[in-house]
Amino acid sequence: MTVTAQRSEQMQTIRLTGCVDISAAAELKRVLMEALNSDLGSGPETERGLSIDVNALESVDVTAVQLLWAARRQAQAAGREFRFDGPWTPELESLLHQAGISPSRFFAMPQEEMGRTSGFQL
Amino acid sequence: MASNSDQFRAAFREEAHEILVDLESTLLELNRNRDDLDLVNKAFRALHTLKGSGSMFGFDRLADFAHKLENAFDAVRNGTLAASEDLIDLTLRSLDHIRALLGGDDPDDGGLGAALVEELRRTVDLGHKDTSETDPLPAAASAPDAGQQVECEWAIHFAPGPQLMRNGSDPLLLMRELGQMGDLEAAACMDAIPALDALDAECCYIAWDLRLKTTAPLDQLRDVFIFVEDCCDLKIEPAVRPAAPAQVDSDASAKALTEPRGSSGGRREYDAPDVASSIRVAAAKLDCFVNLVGELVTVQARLSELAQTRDDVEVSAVAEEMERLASALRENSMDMRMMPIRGTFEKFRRLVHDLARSMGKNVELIIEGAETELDKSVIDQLNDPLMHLIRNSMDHGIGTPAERLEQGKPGTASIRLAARHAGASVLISVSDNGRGIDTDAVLAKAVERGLIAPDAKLPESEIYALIFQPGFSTAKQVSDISGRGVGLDVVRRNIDKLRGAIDVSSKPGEGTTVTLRLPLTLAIIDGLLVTVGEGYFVLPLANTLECIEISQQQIAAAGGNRLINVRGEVVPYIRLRERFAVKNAAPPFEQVMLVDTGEGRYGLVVDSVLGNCQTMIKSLGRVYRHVQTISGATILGNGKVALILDPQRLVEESISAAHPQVRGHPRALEKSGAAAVPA
Repeated sequence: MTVTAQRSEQMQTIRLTGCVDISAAAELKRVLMEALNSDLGSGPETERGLSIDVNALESVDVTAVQLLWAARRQAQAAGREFRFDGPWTPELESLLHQAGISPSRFFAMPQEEMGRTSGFQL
Repeated sequence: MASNSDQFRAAFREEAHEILVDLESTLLELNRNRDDLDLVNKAFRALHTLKGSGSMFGFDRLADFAHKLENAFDAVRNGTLAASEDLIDLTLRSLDHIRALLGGDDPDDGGLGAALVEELRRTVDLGHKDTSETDPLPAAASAPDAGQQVECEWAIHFAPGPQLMRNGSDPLLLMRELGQMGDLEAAACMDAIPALDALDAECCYIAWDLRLKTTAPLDQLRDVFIFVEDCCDLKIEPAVRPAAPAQVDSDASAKALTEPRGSSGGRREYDAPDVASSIRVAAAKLDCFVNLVGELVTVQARLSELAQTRDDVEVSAVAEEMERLASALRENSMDMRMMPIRGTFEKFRRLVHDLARSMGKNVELIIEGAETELDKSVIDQLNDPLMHLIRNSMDHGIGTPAERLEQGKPGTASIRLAARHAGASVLISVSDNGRGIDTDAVLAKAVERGLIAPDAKLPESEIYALIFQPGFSTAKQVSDISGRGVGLDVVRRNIDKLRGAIDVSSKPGEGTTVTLRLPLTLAIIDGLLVTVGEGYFVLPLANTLECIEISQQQIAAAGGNRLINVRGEVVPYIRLRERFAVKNAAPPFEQVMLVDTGEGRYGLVVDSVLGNCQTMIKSLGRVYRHVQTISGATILGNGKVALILDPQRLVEESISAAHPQVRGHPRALEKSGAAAVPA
């Protein structure tokens, strides 16, 4: 499991790989907080979005879901973009769907944003 | 791990035995009120618990057997089967089989169990109200609760507690497991997730409301949550609305999250009796504790005595504080050992039921004062005496219905088992409304056995005492119930051991009452410390009424008449220095301790009264077991030994010594044994 953060002009990207579970929860929280608080007071920070790269994500547990959920809520409250990049694996999608926290339902951006960011690459 | 599971199995055994006793009373009650649905439900729940816990702790055979009984009672519950006498009787016999299975031995390698199951099947077949039913057991099994193949929809509320994730569980995996059992629809409530900076990353804040359509039984559903049920709020119930999409009530979910974890909501409910807030403690541990408290009380007495001689204010203050605490501790520890006698009494319902059936008599057992509390050690030793008394009443006291009707009595006889407190004693009585004791037959038998002279005139109480002689029976025929003459002497022996007394009253044609007077506790008594010569003695405070001074002149003036005038009432007294043959000179004034005994008020004359003492009773051991006037010994604060007197016995013996001709049965009269034991 790894949680890595990367910055670009408009976006901060957090890349989740492998299995992000309770053992990575503290680290994920730290990274998310840092990403959300990092550029306050400098430049057009409200423009800056947050992207969670889940291309290499294999599995998550409830702790990760909660952190991402809280991060998304906070980002949106600050008017910042928050999105997932890359497809979830079908297994993960179905696991979350079964638990009533389907990524597409709970973490989906508004439709227009989805369209705007769909081609985003690292 | 192995020892852990052994421990659980032992705990289950103990619990199961309690359930069985309860179930027995329930069934017998049901036998009288066949339509009482509450009782049916109670029986069903008890069987259900036996089955559930049984299989959990690896008693598979027991669980399987209980399951079959449970099915039958489920059918009764649903009104498809009548609670017939046969069914109840069969269930009672099945309980015995369950007991055997609990003990780990299956006497017949399944044969008996199979026979009982077969009989159950037949009984159920016959008892079915709906005769069109051809296959009753499966029919019973298809009731919703036991539903094996019917698809049910369940509403599950699942709110993991904060600890759940840290225990290594993942709600997502639980949900996947549920999903594999059927059609699962989940709604997650995320409202309780706090802001990112306030969020404990390792804590679960999400709660779920689930709808599951499945053919799996409830137990299987619960098993999914078996490892987390202690740290989550879980409710599983049949869904009311059919397959409607689950609505997330975010308020409710959030509330559930803030509520204390592990509330009873999701726990399995065991209907064990009165478990409200108690723990099981091994009797041996309790004994050890009480023993230590006793030792502490002894040491404390010693400290108090030291403090008195030192004349040191500070030490005295500590000693007084110590005395207060020791006294409270003693009372508390005694209280811990107190148990209601209910369990012992209830057991006899079964005995009476079985005996009545086998003897063709109609007998009803009436229980009174079952809540009366007694020391556990006393209760443990009461079982045998009460059993013998009841068997005796059933066999000798109560006649057949025909006989009774002939005498103008109702056909159904009654045996009354009652308990009540009387001072520091408990009175337990077994009464029947049968024939009463035939005093002539008892006398004839006693003469025949050479216990009394043919021309002896005995008061009634003496005649009744004869029936407690070993081997004494007036029964013309030996039955399997009683008549062998073993029994009542067992009662006497056991009650003696408990320092109790037996009182019999009987009226020909009206019935007999045997009353057992027992001490509340065996371990510690409140006493008065007295001296006779150089010896220390303890008189149980419970028996002691008052203390009066008597001078040497008064004693001499009475001229051998051992009587004292107490406010107009003449009370006989026993001078202990004479009784114990104390040689040294008597003080000018002696003290008459008035004691209450079964024979009335008597005085025991001692040299001086030293004061109150809490006394831990120590047995005198086998060597002195014939010394009945002394019930034990204790160690005083100054390290000396004091003997504990038994006023009742002292008085009885003095009476029998004064009137040897009326003694029907010689008792172990100690002559030299009771001489003053040097303290």
